Amino acid sequence: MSPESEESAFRRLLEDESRKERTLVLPLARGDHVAAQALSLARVQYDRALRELAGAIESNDYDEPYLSVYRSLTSGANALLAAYGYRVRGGDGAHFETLRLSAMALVAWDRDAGTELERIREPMRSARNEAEYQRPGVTTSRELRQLFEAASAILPAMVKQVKHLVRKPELSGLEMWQVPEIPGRD
Amino acid sequence: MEPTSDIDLMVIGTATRFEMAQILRPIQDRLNRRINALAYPREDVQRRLRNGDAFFLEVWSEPKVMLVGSEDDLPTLTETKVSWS
Repeated sequence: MSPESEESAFRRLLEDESRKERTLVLPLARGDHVAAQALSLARVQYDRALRELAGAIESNDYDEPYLSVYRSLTSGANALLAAYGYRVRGGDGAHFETLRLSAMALVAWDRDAGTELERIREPMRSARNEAEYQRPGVTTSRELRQLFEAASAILPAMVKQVKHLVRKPELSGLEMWQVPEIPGRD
Repeated sequence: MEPTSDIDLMVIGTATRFEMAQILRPIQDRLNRRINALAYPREDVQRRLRNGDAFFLEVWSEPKVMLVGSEDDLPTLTETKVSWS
């Protein structure tokens, strides 16, 4: 199946989902604007994760940069769905569903990035929920490094696809997503 | 536990959740059952037991099926001087 066909199939899937009763998928009136804003937010959150790293290394507590990368990926996923003209209704499981649909969207034009997002979706959710709500200090330096590595491959693919879909000139400077040096044996 | 219920798996060691997800995905597909996998470094488990973490105390008090090693290999409450008061 060509990328164009996969993109059309995904668009139809979103349309069908949005028509279902009690659906989580809602249409957006100005998805292009929402997409641009969400990508900017993803950039801010990723840069925040990089800034938080020094403190995390010093205190051996990696939750904050981990959560910021998680938020950045979720914002990128929001941007991608918005570029298709949709959003996921807030509430329990909204991030998980947003990431799931976003992984499906990515597969059309970048199969590796989509597969990678699907691969990290559940372990990332599990660590995020524990770190945020149950057991602070649950993430390790090694886990954070792996999340940065995955995000640095997924976010550029999201940016590329959003740009392809909405063609906004202000979406420049979003190609590079640096993987920082993170010391530590674990 | 029902034959179709989720499987809770805890790994104590250096593996991360991402690495475990990679390994467990084909197993979940084969079993057609969801595996809720958690991974913690050993020193983290010891610290949390020492601090009386409710989740770990609960898990430690419940029956377990050991896939690698035996229960003797686990950090214990007495070794880690958990305060119950």
